[in-house]
Amino acid sequence: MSGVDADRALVERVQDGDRDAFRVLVERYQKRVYALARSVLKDSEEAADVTQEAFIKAFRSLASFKGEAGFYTWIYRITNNLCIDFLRRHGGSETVPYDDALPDTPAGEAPAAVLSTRLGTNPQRSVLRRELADKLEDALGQLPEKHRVILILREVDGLSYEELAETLEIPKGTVMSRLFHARAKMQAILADYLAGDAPEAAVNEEE
Amino acid sequence: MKKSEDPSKAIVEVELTNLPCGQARESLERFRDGDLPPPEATAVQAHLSVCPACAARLSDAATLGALLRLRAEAIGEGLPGGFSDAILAALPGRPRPFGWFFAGRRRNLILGAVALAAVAAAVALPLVGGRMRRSAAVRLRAAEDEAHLRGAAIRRPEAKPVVFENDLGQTVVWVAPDAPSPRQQGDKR
Repeated sequence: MSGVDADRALVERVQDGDRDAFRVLVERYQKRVYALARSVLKDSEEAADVTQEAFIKAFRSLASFKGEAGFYTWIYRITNNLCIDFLRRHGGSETVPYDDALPDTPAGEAPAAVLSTRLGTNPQRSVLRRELADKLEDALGQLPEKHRVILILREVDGLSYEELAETLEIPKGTVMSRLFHARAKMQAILADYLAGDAPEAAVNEEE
Repeated sequence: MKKSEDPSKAIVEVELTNLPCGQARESLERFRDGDLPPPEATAVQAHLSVCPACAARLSDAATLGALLRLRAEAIGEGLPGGFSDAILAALPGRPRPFGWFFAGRRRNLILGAVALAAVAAAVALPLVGGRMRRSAAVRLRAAEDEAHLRGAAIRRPEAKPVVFENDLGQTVVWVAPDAPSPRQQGDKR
């Protein structure tokens, strides 16, 4: 049974009143939902609150969940919307405004191969030392919230372009554009850091 | 596109025109994400084999993805213990005996049946009630006629049946069987 089918079976059990099935769904997705919320909201407690709220909202709405989309795209959409609501309520909005309709300005050309040469294409946990982890957070923080979300949903949660379009309620062309610029900017920031500022910050584990 | 020189080998060699770097780079993301149609993916693949710079950019994208996954993993591990318990405890509604039977789709089925029964009752009761009321009226007239014909009118022409409605909403006709006659009353005096 695929993950989507397994989720659908769990959702049906929850719709039949089985709360233990909902626990399985929570435990399956709580870390990813929390990581997504933490990528939008800077505060851990706020992210935890939004994560909890997202699951409660999903539970309340599960009776009307048709299962046409996967449970995970649904819970990610709820989480993203709650994060946006939270930012609006608390006047935080985006630290970096972004408008898809505006022409894109080059994010800065990243010197090619710096990331992969220094870290390898499959870096292990040990490379994520404090300094690099902080730089990663800093780089993410320089992205508009929309870019952070799409990058996490694509790279961490593995959503397809179609699923991203559905989850974020944007056209597929916008998905491609946002992803392109989000990656380009992240690579440029990290490459600058790795190339010059902190030569000892990371070690290529594959070497 | 040209056929192989050896006609015994049904191999079709594809002449690939190397993409310009700019065009290849526009497609790199989709190539990495598996979103390119096969002909375009083949063209990008061919470009990558001869262009170290674009190949390096693709590798950088893979590194970035891996870093973000490591970050998410570390964040997820920072979730407080018992987090799922807290979520489950905060869910609306509480488990109850036979809750599984009354919840979800079963509950909807039961509610549907109850609603159907209620509609049926709403339609049927006025009819039954009307029949009951008509029946009581007929009984009342019959009782009055009978009371009149049964000698009561002869012995106590002033006596009339007592008609009242009981707690069940039924019309009751009560004919006092042994009401004292004026003569008997007079005897007591």
